[in-house]
Amino acid sequence: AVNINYNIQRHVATAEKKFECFNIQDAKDFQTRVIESPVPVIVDFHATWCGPCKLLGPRLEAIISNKEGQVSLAKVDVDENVEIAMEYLVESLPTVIGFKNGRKINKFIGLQEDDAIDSFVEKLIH
Amino acid sequence: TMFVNKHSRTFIFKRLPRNYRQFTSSSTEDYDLVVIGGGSGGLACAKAASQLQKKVAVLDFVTPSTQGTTWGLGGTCVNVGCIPKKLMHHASLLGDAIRDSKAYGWNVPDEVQSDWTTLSTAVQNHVKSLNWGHRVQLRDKNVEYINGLGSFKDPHTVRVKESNGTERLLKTRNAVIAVGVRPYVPSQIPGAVEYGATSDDLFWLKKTPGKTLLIGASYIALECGGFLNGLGFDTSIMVRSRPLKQFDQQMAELVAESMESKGTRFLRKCVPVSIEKDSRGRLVVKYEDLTNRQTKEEVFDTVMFATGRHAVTNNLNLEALGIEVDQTTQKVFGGHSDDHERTSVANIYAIGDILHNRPELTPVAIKAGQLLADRLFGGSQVQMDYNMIPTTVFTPLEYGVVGISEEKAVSCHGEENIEVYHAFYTPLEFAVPRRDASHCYIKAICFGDRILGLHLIGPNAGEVIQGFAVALRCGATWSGLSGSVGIHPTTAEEVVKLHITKRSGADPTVTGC
Repeated sequence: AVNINYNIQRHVATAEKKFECFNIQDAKDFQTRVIESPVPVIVDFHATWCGPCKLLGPRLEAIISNKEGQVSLAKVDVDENVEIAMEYLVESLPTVIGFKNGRKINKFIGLQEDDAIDSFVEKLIH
Repeated sequence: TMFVNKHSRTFIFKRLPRNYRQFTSSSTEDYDLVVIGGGSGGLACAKAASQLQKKVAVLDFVTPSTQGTTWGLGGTCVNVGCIPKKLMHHASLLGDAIRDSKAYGWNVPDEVQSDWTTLSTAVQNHVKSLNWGHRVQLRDKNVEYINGLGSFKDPHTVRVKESNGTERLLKTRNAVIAVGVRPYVPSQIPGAVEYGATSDDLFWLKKTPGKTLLIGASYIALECGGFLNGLGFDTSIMVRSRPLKQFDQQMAELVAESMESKGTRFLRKCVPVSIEKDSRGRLVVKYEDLTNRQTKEEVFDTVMFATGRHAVTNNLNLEALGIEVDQTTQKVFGGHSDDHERTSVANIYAIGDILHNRPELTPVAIKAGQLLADRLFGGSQVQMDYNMIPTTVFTPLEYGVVGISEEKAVSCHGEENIEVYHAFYTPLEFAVPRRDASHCYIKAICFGDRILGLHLIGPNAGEVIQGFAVALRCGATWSGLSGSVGIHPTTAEEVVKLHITKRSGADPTVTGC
């Protein structure tokens, strides 16, 4: 008989990577959840017809989820929220703008590599 | 607070308030120009006027089609015309290319299928990106965009009814009617309005078109029938008299024959009688063969009417203002006071498809709109030149043309005074897969040394004819054309190599290299 040791300790990461990620419904929503947000917010301006946006979305979510809630992610569909997109001079998509204390801090346009996105997020937080 | 002086071009500002709009007119309410219609013409005119520092608003609203289809900013061309058409035309040509590629050594399966959902989604995504692009452009050029239905209260007041019900009155110095035209469905045919689709619907069809009947003989019927056939759908085109009646008839016949040779079925001299839905949801079309008065019946998945496009001006309130329209077409008359686009009311103009008796083409509307803005606000006197406008029918084998038809040339100058140089040619790339080139044809219609018309059927005819159209506009003569050296090997060079006349009766088939 083989003596099998069942006393195995397995470390499982059970804590969910917590971060706020939400779709902006209208201007009022943007005001409360982005402008008046106590934490910095990354705003992802995207559209259903935009191919690169579909690739950028998951990358943004993955990177922001690793920041332990220090920054939130707001998604703005420009066709549903034209006025907001116009106000922030969004032209090409995707456009990502970092907000802190109600003000535009930084921005990038187009699909980016993970490390570029990460340094962008870090710059906003600090 | 902020201060911006548009005249001196120096900007001193602290912060731009959200809805700040720069203007130079006396009152905050007055517009210099209100454009009704955000299509090719309307947008071009509005942007050009705004560049001249004028306060401009453009109104755009899409009344849903008979089947409920609607779309965004940009007009017919962007949403249900040129753009989606050309993309689908290209998609169908790619099918041919894949089949041809075998002869060129590519390892492709014997059967290739097209997926309508993938194609239509890709096309619609591109169209939506253009809708967005237009919104951005209007903002960049400082043009106010209102999504609403416009009508005239008086010559200087435009009423806008927005989709949420709010109404606004815009006081304006000038107005441009650029509302375009919409597909006409003959309502006297039972089932036509209820079950018939149009070009307004085709590019936005959720389900695959399946076995399709197109009713009509216009370029719209032929272009749509052409690409549907190329994409693999069982396609029939019902023509009451002759295809492409507005074009040179010899070229029209060659185009139709080329489509037939590719498998498109033409039901000639037939008219629809009724359309019904069967128990499985398919469309039963009863039609009459005018040659023998027999009524026939056939089942289709999709029936598309391409039986003309008409003006929808009844909601504009033109009558009350005395703006004259043509009784048959309802299109607006221009040409007042020697201005091609001026209506019977001094400060109101019309451009694009809504303008009576002018070519219904995007580049025509754009140029007319830009020139109009220059005349209204830029001190220009230049009128739109509607002569020698080139165009192309994007059937699978394209037909490009600039100038008049042979029939028109003969009736204007007499057959004995016209010389027609022509050639049947074979594009080099057709040789290897042994593609049928029997409809590839060119003719130049000349009156002495003047070229009255240049017609070409062949691949990329649109690209080929563009350059020649410029040459003709700059006064190129027959001797200049035929004295030019061609680029080899191309199909375009066959134009400068034309030398056989119809009159000679010699065989116009190009031989050898």
